[in-house]
Amino acid sequence: MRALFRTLIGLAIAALGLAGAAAQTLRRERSGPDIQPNQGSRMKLILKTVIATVAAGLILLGVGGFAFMYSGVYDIAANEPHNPIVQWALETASDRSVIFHARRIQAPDIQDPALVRQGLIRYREHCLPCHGAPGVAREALGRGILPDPPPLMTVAGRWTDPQLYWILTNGLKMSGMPALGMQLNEADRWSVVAFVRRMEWLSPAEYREFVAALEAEPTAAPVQWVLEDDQGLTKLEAEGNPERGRQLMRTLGCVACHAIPGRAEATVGPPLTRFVERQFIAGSSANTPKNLQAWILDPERLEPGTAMPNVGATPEQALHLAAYLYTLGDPQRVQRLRRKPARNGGEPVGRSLP
Amino acid sequence: MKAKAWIAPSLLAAAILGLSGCGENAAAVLGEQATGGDAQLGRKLTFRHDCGSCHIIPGVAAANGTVGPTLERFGRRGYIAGALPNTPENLVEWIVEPHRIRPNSGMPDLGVSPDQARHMAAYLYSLQ
Ligand code: HEC
Ligand code: HEC
Ligand code: HEC
Repeated sequence: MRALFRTLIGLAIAALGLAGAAAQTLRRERSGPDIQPNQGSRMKLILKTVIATVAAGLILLGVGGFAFMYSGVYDIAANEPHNPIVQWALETASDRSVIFHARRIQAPDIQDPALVRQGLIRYREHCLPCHGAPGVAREALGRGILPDPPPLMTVAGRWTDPQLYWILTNGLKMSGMPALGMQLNEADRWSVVAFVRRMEWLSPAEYREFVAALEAEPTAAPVQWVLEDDQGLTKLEAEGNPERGRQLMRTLGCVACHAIPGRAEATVGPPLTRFVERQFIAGSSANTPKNLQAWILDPERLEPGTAMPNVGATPEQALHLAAYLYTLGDPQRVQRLRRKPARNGGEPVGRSLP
Repeated sequence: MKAKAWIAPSLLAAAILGLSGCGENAAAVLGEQATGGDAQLGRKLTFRHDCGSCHIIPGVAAANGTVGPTLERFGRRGYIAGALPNTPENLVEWIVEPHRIRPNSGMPDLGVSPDQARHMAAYLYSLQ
């Protein structure tokens, strides 16, 4: 199917080219090679030709477009992907619109345990069926939608708090994303934003503890509703040496199992190219500087039975290795650990921009 | 521009566009032999089960997720989720019920049937 499509485009280009060649030849024959037309009338002729061509093109496009639309040939089925150009256009228009419409919203302080807890309750009722949660699949209702509802823990970082608030309040046209402004009051909507922010750093096991804490008495084991310090980011940036880390990747034998930029051969473990963008370490712990160092020092402690061995790195070496691994990919993700106060300003990213 | 100057580039463009689809098939055969699944069908199913919301998967539309590891060159990967050697049977088992193998994993059970998983495995093994 794709080969056919490409061949058709190729043939179309070839036909255009041949038509161009034919037109050139024809004109040369008609005017004769030796006649020099006078400069003014020649310009006029060119201008006229251009205008006529554009006009004819537009009319053809309009008629053709309408015929195409009305014929029903366009595949509206949600189980086939969009054409990449259509997808790009839809996403870009949608992202720009969110950025534009959310520009005047002011976010309150959402670093509040009670707010995050309330947000979890509302999230489970209104968002989980489509967007899932750490270690929890979306429900039947949320499957097979195009565009598909992305896991919010990874995409939340593309948006500021006001933009998240705007999206869940107003929904997104021509996608399955509903407007929840009618069902949730303002405080509840901000609470969902607060929980979604916390979810960026929540592991599947912690998510289960959160849910258990909802159902248990207030005396149950305390959970960290609000993520406390910067999870080792400041120390990493101050004392970690990425260049040392890069060398240690070789001397400690990490590159025997992992692909890194410039050394792509090893395939025992997952590639670490763009590691900073990864949601979890080993599929189960939040990807923070603290957890990453703990993982390098003792993988078995974080993930019993894992195939990654303890290579016997010292804490200092682990710090340098972590500093190196956090240079792979877009560092914005880990820098969001330092996100107080409420993220009103800042650079809105949107999903089309890499 | 000379008339002749149009002909060569346009024929070249046609040839390149027409032929660039060939050669994708050798790797698919590898995957199919390993699993007995249908790699092309697997590619479709991979899209329809939204695996791409969590994984980067070459050849699957909009598959740019970062929740799980990238599945680029998955055919050569040593382990599945760091827990199982990467064999066809283990891969099918993983896709069907990841939480039975790794209860704390960020990859949830997605309601995939073993048959569908076999086709998807055929596709994943074609990624060399
Ligand atoms: C009926 C299913 C459904 C429900 C329920 C739902 N969403 Fe969505 N959501 C979607 C879909 C589909 C998209 C994809 C839209 C797109 O990509 O254009 C989406 C997109 C989003 C986005 C933009 C993600 C991006 O691409 O960057 C955010 C943020 C979001 N939803 C938040 C929420 C929150 C918060 C809730 C709960 C209050 C929620 N959604 C409930 C279906 C749903
Ligand atoms: C013998 C092979 C081997 C060696 C040597 C090794 N690893 Fe690993 N590594 C693995 C495997 C297998 C996994 C997958 C573990 C899992 O998911 O349980 C892994 C996972 C990881 C992860 C998490 C990746 C992800 O996408 O979730 C990081 C980070 C990592 N290793 C870093 C290192 C560093 C740094 C070194 C060197 C100090 C190293 N590894 C040495 C095999 C190895
Ligand atoms: C909600 C996110 C999510 C979805 C959806 C998802 N995965 Fe995963 N996947 C993960 C995570 C997280 C891991 C890492 C698991 C671990 O190490 O415990 C993973 C691991 C894997 C692995 C092993 C990769 C490796 O290098 O170890 C394969 C293969 C895989 N997934 C295939 C699939 C297929 C096929 C689908 C679609 C049916 C799918 N995944 C859907 C999150 C997801």
